This record gives sequence, C-alpha cells and structure tokens, in this order.
Amino acid sequence: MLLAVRKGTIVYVMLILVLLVVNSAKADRRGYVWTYEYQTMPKGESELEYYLTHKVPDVHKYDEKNTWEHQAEYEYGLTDRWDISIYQRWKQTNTKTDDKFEYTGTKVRTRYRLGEKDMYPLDTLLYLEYIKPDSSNEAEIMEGKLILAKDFGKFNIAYNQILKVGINNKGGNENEYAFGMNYEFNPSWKAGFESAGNYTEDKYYIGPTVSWAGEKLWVGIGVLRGLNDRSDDFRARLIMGIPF
Amino acid sequence: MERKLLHWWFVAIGLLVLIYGCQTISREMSPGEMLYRAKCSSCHSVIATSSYDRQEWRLYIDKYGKKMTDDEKRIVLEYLVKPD
Repeated sequence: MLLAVRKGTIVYVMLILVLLVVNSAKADRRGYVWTYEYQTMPKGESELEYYLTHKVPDVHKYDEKNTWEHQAEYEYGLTDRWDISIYQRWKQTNTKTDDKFEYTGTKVRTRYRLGEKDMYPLDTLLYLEYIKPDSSNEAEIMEGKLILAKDFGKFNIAYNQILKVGINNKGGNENEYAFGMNYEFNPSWKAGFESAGNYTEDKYYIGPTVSWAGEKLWVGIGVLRGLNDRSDDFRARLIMGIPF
Repeated sequence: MERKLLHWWFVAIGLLVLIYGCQTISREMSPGEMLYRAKCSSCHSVIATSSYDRQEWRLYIDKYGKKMTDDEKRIVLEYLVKPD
C-alpha cells in the first residue's frame, strides 16, 4: 500500500507544481471527470489529455486489491461540432501479491454536437467509441452515449445514457449512466457533484468533482463512493488536458 | 438482463423522439452568436453580451481567442457589441 500511496503522491505533487508554474490560463476544458458535457474540440484545434483512475473495491482490503488506470488521449476538432480522438490505455496494480504495469489497449472515439448551446431546449451530443483490448481474450466493445445537457446561467446539468455492446462474442451488453451538476464560480473554477453507475450490474456511485482551467492546461479531480455492496467502495479520477 | 436492456432501449428511443421534437422549436442564431458559442463556451459558460463594453470584449477576444482567425474575431466582436 505504501508503494501505491507513494506513486499517487508523486503524481499529485507533480500536478501541484504544474499548476503553480502554469498560471492564469484558459482552455477547452471539462467540468466533470465521469460525465461528458455538451462540448467538442473547436475546428482545427487539438489537445492531449491524461486520465488517472484509481479503483478500490474494498477499502479494508486495500493492500490486496486496488488498481490505477492510465489513459492518454489525443483529440482533434474536425469541425466546430465534430471531433475525433484516439486513446492508449495502461493498468497498474500495487498490491502485496500483484505489482505490475501493463498495456491494456486502445480506443477511438468520435463526438458530434447537434447544435450550438441553447439553440434547442436540450443540448444534445452523440458519442461513439470503439474499444480494442490488447488481450484477445477480452471483448471488443462499441460504446454509444447519448449526452444531454443544459446550462442555467452558471449552473450546468448533464446526463449521459451509455450503451456498451460486446462485438466479438466475448462480452454482453451493458447499460450505464453518468450524471453531473456543477456551478461555475468564475471562468477558471467549477465545482459540483457527479453520480455514475451501471444499471446492468446494479452498481451506483456518487461524489464531488472540482475543475480548474487555464490557457495552457486544465485539470479535473473527482471522487466517487459506492452506494451498495456490489459497487467498489471508492473511485477517484484525475483528468489533465493540454491544448495546443 | 435482456429485459432490462430492452427497457433502456425504449428509454433511449423516447429521448431521441423528445430531442427531435425539441429541434422543431429551435432558436434562430446569427453567425456571430453561433461562432461565439462554438469557440468560447467550450471553456466557460455563455457570458451575457451586456457584461462588457466593446473595448473590454476586444481585450478578452485578443487574449483568449488566439486560435481564432481575424475574420472570426471580427464576427464575434460584432455580435457581442450589437446583440440581435
């Protein structure tokens, strides 16, 4: 556990140092870490994003089972409403019996916004993703999301209906959701809460999220607590984006 | 599990019908307003046009709209200082 905590601490210390160095800036940022909102990369712009997700199935058995998932994403705006991206994924375990860092696969994704914000009573974004695992024993997955969002002044509400379909006869279908509400205190800072879950597996989570954005960097941090015995006890995610 | 899945498919279709219905009552937007919302609201909420005067908007566009072309900046500024 000490090793895991030390690695996690290094990441957060590095993040704080970066925040201190890159000051007062704006970017194409996310206000949530589990929920997608109504935005795509503007035409011709691109961004590198890093995701760190920590999953703890049982806090009392932290030493025996916990994972750190890393994702690197490159995102590019084809038009002001349509973007594409590619991800690379890795998984790290730091337990007494298992200490490894492995490549887990790739993802490609596209998003399309149906209009500009407030053009329609409900802002709607369509999301499609193909997930290719590194191991041939795991399911290839097509993931579709219907993203509905609305701004009420500085308040934002977003709901994602998610459908995952196994496409190589190795996985079933799953229905998931993510929901978020946040408030923009100023153009740099947003804070709120998110809930995420899996209707198929009966797993549900809720917790707070904070987001900060600058010109050259944005960062979102959120934690979730499991709401029933089937859910992991605790999940945390950090997303960092660097537009260029 | 399959019944549950079918249930959510119906929910998804219902939402799509709702979205289609909503699109029939869409709000008209000028090219300047559409550009402003596309380029600026990916970073922050839509700021009311009356919040700043011409000089202040010009400063903000120059500072934060570095990736916009001069034409795009001009169209957005025209919208912000002369709202429809």
